[in-house]
Amino acid sequence: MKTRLSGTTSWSRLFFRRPATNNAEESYYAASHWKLMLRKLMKHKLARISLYVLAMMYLMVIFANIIAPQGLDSYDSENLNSRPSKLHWVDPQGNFHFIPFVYGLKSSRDPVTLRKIFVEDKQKWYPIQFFVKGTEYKFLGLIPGNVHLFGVEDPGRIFVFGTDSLGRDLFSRIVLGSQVSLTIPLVGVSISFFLGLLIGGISGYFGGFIDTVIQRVIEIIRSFPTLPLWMALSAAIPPRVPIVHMFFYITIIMAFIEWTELARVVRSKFMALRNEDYVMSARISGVSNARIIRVHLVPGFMSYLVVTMTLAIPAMIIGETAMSFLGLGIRSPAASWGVLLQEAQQMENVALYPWKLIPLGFVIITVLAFNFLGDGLRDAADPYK
Amino acid sequence: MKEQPIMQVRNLVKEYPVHGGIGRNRQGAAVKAVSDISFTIRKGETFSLVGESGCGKTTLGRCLVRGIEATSGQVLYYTDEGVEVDFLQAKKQEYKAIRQNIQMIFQDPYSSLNPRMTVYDIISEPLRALSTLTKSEIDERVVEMARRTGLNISYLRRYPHAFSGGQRQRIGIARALITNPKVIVCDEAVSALDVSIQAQIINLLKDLQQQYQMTYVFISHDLSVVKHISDRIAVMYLGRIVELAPTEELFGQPKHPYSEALLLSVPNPDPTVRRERVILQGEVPNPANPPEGCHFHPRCPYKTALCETSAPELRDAGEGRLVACHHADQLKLKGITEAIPV
Ligand SMILES: Nc1ncnc2c1ncn2[C@@H]1O[C@H](COP(=O)(O)OP(=O)(O)O)[C@@H](O)[C@H]1O
Ligand SMILES: [Mg+2]
Repeated sequence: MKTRLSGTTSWSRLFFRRPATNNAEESYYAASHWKLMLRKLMKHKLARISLYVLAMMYLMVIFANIIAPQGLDSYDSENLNSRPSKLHWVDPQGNFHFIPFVYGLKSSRDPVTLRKIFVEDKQKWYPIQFFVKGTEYKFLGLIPGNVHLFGVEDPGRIFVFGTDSLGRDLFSRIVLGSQVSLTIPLVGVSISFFLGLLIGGISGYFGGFIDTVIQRVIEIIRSFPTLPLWMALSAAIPPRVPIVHMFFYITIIMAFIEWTELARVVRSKFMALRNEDYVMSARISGVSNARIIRVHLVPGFMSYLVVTMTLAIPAMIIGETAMSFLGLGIRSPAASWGVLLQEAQQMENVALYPWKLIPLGFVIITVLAFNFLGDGLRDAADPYK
Repeated sequence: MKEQPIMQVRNLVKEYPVHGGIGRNRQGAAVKAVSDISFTIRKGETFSLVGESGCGKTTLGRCLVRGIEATSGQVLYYTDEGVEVDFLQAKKQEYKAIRQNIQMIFQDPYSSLNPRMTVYDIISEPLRALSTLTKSEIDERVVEMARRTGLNISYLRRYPHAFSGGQRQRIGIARALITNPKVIVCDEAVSALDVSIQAQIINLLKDLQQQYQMTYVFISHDLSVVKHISDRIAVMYLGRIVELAPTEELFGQPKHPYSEALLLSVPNPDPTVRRERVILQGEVPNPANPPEGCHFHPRCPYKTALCETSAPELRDAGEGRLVACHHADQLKLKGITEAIPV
């Protein structure tokens, strides 16, 4: 045995090389925690669907300028409160068009209410075109461009979700608004993540007096009613600040409340893991404290932290939407879904132009998707069961 | 031959703070999980600690390996050169050196292996932390140890979830032995396993002890597990040793009523033999609030007025035995061999 073992062969190379017969069983046995977690997550149907939905949402965020046919500031004073355009495939002559088209619009009055409405002008139709030139924008704030995914030729108009009271295309504004509504929670959660990891870690590691103080502070922060807190904090924001700063302030306000939950998860997991046998075993094996934290404790609760973070995002989305809806958050000319919903504050607006509630649908879908994903992750966080 | 000491425990105490109700901790309230224990472990022997659950075996074992810090007392370790070092006070290099020699095998093979590490990382961790070996030397040691503990080399890149309890315990053993320790504390090392696998693991432990000349401190609540492997047995009750004797003598003729009760509660493997069983009466008292006098007196069938007021010392009872009972000399207690009519 001795002779076979001696020599300069690096054994690690020998057994870390993938075996030639890489059957499914072996790949399961050699699967790391994250791999197992992903595997289990993908078995959770709702979570999988949510993952796809969210992937689409964030693709929309990235390519927002291209997907939106109009810019954020574009408006059309001819088409105030216009209903969503209808797509047609069959023209008045009964010919079928493979590419759908929209009719031109002409305004008229409702014979009963005498309100201004738009009717389709069947004389003019405009087929949908792809990759048309339109409003100038900067892709990702850097690369200038003017190509939009779809559009119709002037003077035709396509309003997928109708227009608002200033004649701005709601679809374009939802798509562009998602850049704010869907990134604030991510940035906010990242800030909360660092605060939570740091403060929760300190609390759980040192325990005793420090822990008590931190826990009391967290309780105080969590017992604030959110609405007055938002009002107070946003009152502290100067009235005329650049959009970027505004975005930053709102994120901080959201994170200021959210980190407490993450800190609690970190602390309790830290305390639970500290008493695990394998941590004791590492100590007996002479592993240093710093390394125990890094190798044994932090990875142990990272999956739970990911779950908590995912479940914290919906609260942030709703928070930002509510703040902006109340005029405490993002302000025009910047747009977020909450800003778009401001028009739905008056009942009559909703009754007459129900499409103005469409941004709400986006909020709900996103929030649900994050919740389902979080649920799936929670089930998958302990993949050994 | 097995006379030289390798470890000596002196007046070891471990207290856990008790949280009294809501709010502030009640000052001074503590559970004495281990209260003033002293004994010597001899080189090469298997020294067993037995007692009911909650009597402080795990706490004592963990203090020995310094997995938890004892409240007071000493754990002296005798190096190869015969130098006596207090492991509990050892620092830096000295600590590292002794640390390699005192290792532990855990009870629960599921919670004692980090699920996020490969078997290779688990087994090699002590070497990486304590030795100055190169990567390839470590690899060699790991492969060798895997062989000796009956683990396939291809298992090394797997994660613990791939294994059954018995195999996991082999991984735990390989990890404990990788630094070539002199003393291994096995805390209920087989209690969590199936009976058929218990025997395999015990045989493995015995073989390894032979090969590497190790000293075992074997902790178990089950006397039948301990019987075949121990040289000497210490019986613990409520944080103290009540009797310490060579295995044969303890089984043949216990001197403490608690030892007798434990022995007679061991189920007999031969169902045709009927044994008069003295079932332990009452509950284990709360260790935070132990009874006056002899801790065992509320459950003792032989108790006298003396037992209720005065706590017996652990004293020499001849033939290398120690016992903590006022009436050890007068009582004629039943051992297992005596109770079974041949
Ligand atoms: N971490 C701890 N904190 C407080 N009390 C503990 C702790 N660990 C053990 N104890 C108490 O110490 C006593 C001895 O426990 P333990 O050493 O686990 O006994 P055994 O291993 O013999 O079952 C028990 O009463 C138990 O409740
Ligand atoms: Mg125990």
